[in-house]
Amino acid sequence: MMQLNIIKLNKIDKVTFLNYFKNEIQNNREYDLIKKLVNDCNKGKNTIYILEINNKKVAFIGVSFDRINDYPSVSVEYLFVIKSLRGKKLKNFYNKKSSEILLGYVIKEIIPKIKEYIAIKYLTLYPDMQNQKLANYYLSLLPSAFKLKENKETWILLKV
Amino acid sequence: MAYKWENGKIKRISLPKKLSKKNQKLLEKMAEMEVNYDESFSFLKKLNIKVYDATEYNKIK
Repeated sequence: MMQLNIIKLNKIDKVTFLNYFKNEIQNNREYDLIKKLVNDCNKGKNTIYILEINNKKVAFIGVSFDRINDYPSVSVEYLFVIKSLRGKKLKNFYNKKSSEILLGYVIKEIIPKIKEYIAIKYLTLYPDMQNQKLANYYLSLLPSAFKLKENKETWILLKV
Repeated sequence: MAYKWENGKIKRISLPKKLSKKNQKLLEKMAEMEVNYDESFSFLKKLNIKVYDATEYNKIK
């Protein structure tokens, strides 16, 4: 049986991390975004969760706290899936995509645990570069999510 | 917080601090909504996910 692991990281060896994923990064933009995410993780600004399938790291998500209109929120800072698995449903995992597993883990496992102690109202996502395709993907994945447009930026919010 | 890639540089951007009245109302309305994601993510329970807490990323070979 295939094994799924999720590894929580608060501190990362940046060089090793970037080297591990270097062949799965699509372009300089992605590389720079990941580097920034890792730097911020090492400064304690976010936490990264890596998804591992049979000991191969296939995706990761960076999350942090924020506020919107005074409502405490959990922000997805960045969600990365290796090139070879992008858009692919995993047959051995109920046809779910890696991104669905990670987002589901945040929504169903992490947020409820935080909510036992602190109020959280929203999960927020920012589709970088006003990427309509990505925004639509999030909206289709999370049917109760909605768009919030403010100051020429579009955010995706989900009540949690 | 999130990242925005603009003109070759990455900016860390915050959620908007001030919202239009329309958006304020939308958030207030949505904040009252009861949600339940048990069904949407029921697959998670079947996946047998093991979770590890690594303070140092030393598992990469």
